[in-house]
Order: sequence, then C-alpha cells, then structure tokens
Amino acid sequence: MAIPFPSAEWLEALIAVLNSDERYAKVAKSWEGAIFIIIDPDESSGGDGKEFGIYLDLWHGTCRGGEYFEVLPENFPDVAFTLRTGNANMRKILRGDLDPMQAMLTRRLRVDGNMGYMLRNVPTVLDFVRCCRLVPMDTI
Amino acid sequence: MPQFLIVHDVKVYPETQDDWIGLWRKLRERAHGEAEWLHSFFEPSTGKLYCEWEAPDVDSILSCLSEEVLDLAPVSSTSEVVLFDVTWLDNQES
Repeated sequence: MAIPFPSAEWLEALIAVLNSDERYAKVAKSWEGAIFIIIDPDESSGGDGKEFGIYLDLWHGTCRGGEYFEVLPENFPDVAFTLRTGNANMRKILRGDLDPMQAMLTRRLRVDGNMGYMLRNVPTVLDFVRCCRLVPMDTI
Repeated sequence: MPQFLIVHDVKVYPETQDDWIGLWRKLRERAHGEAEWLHSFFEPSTGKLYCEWEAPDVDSILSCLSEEVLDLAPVSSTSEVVLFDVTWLDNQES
C-alpha cells in the first residue's frame, strides 16, 4: 500500500526497513551520524509553501529513532548532515529516476556536512537510498 | 584515439559539497581538447579514483591535471588500456 510522502507514516515505515534490512546493517556498520532532510516546497507538493523535515538518527547500521516535522523547528536537531532538496527531486531519487550522487554533484541535493566522510561512505549512502526505495510511496 | 586509465590516490578529501563540486568542475573544464576525461570510478575502501581518459598520449592527460588536483589526489599509475565492451557478445553471429 502506497504511503504519502513526506509523512510520519512514511518515516515510520523507513525506520522499520532500516532496522530489519540485513544488507543495510552490514554496509552501514561503521556509519555514525544523524541526518536531517529538509524538503523544500515546489509544484509537486501542492505549492502551499511548506517545508518538511525528516530527522533520522543513524548509528552503526541501525536507526535509533526519527522524527517528522510538518513545520521546521526553530532549532534544528544536532546532526552530522543536513540534506536539502525539492519535493520533486526527492521523489525522483526515491523512485530511482535520479542518482543520489548525481543529485549531489549537480546541487539538486544540497549537503551540509563533512563531504569527505560522505564520500568515504558512499556505499552506506547508496544503501540508505535503496532502503528508502523499499518504502512504497504515493504518486502525485 | 587511445584510451588510458589514470589511477589517483585521494589524499585529501573535500570538506564541503562546494569544494567537491568546484574541484571536479575545474578539472572538467581543463579536460576538453586533445585529452578528454570520460568517466571516473571511486573505490571508497581504498580511496583510489580510477579515471578513464581518451587522449593521444599520457602527457596530454597529465597536462590537464592542475597542481591542486595532484596535491589532493596524486597519480599512482597510468596505463594505456583497450576497451572490451561485453555487449558486443550480444550481437555475435554463432
């Protein structure tokens, strides 16, 4: 059953995938760092101008928790990486229509954090995206 | 045109996304002309960057690499290589 994206339900389903996926546990076993994904509004999100936030506490191949923000908090969570993209590009990444590394190299996905750490952990990044793609997402 | 595989050992990683994009853009701009940078494969576990080039000779490739690039990712080997495209096998006559 498709789950609306972005939403608390989608985040809950993603956390369940991350914590049950054997491959992710293995590939991401060295990863230490929470991430905060900010999804900017665009035509695909209904044009109501709202930003959404998804916080994920990723630690050694597990997800220790997460939070969905319908309204961005005044004080952002303390994270290793903040990722920012438009709703349409995020959906392209999640559908497999946009390579996440290409999105980073073309700034369609903005990264605030240690890029060296991100590059040294590309397999973890790609496997995280693979897990995201396992969550059935609504179409708009 | 001969093809080459240039292997770099990445010694210094970019701190920010802008540093990373800026460096790759600069190299991309220099890599048009006699020598053309085609693809790169990065091996995160070793920090090796395998770059495929098309060029008349290896010197024309090395001349594209700025001091900045060579400081961050010195060249560890250069090889002239030949491409075998596995899809050729799909079209062979039996």
